[in-house]
Amino acid sequence: MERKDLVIAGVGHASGGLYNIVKVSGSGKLFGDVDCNDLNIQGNATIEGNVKAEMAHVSGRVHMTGALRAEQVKISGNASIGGNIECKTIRFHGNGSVKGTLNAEEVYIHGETDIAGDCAAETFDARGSFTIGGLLNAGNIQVKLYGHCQAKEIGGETIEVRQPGVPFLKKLFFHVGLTAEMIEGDEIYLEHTNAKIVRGNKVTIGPGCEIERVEYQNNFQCDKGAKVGTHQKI
Amino acid sequence: MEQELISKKELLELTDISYGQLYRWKRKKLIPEEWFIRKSTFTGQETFFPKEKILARIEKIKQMKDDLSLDELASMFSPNPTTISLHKDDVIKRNIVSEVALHFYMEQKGEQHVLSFEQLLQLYIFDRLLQTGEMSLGEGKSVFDVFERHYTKVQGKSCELLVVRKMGISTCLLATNGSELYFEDGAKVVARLHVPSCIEELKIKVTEGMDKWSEKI
Repeated sequence: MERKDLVIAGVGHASGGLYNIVKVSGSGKLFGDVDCNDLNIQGNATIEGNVKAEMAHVSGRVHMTGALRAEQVKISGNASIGGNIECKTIRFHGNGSVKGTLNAEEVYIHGETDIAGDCAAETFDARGSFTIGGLLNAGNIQVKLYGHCQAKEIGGETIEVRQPGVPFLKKLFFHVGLTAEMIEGDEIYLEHTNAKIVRGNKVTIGPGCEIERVEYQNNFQCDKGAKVGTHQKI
Repeated sequence: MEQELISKKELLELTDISYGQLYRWKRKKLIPEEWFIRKSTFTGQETFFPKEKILARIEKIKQMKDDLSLDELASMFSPNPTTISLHKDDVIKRNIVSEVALHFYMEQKGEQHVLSFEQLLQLYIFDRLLQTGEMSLGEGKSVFDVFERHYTKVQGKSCELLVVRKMGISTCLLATNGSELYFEDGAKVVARLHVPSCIEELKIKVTEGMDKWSEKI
């Protein structure tokens, strides 16, 4: 079937279906599942259904009730997704909220992101603030702390959490740090992290950490400015 | 029935794998989500696994990971059928199902030269029930019918095939995992097969044969 373009430039409603480009620059509402090559939302859009796209770019505001499946996702505005996200690369520059789980190969977080379920990726790179309700499972986890970051559990191969210079006033008024119940990985480096238990082969605890218990296999180092309850070699 | 559990720490020690590997395999769906059982212990939350299943699975992954990529492994362990199809002569030659079962299938469903994975699965399950003597040849039709009509609905989910018999009359049904079933007195559950594990066995059989077979050529 031939795919046609759907452009909503003013105020409009449309039904879902097969499209080439879906572009909403005014205010639009789509009813039903959408399958398109290019989803571009610059205005305000509500999509009642699931979305499948090659590229999804949100610079305005979007609310999806269903799941999102795409190759590339970029959210520079405000997006709330009711279902799961499955994609290759996802970039959060604005404000993202996911009610389900996020499955991707690469995740970049620069803005503020809230994921209610699990988050799985090969690369997870965060420089903003995030809240993950379930497990953050990624091969390579790099977190630069610029705000409040939280995950229930973190697991992966390399886990690195660092705090670059944060203005004194911001530190005074906002919590800047990572909170997790459990962190498990092969190589772990943590700064300004609050966790109940950290397990790994090579564990390095940097300044500002508060950790109840560390279990390690090969190597354990602890900064003077960190509080570690007990540590045990296994 | 309580199955024996093993904690994550013990598992890693026993199998000599690292946290990273375990998480990577979980991410690639080599280890199903429902095997991660959370329980609270005195040190907080801990993850446990069904011991026999997870040990067998990890052993299998370790054996095969040199020959196959993780994605290939994942498709082998996934409960979704693959797109492999086989010619009926190969099915017999490679001893995937017995000739009797195949003949009966052809009688029921008409002569077919190429069999899809779904058809192979029906045959494989039927053949297993035949071999164990839990089902007679004539009853096979009900297996084929239940699969043909309802398998798409439970595909990808963990489900079981049950064969129930009462006073010599038998029927079979597909039940998704976790559903409770109660039977009247006198009804007997003759066989209970976990479909995803059958799929896994069949996939291994099919792909293993592939290699040997292509070597011969």
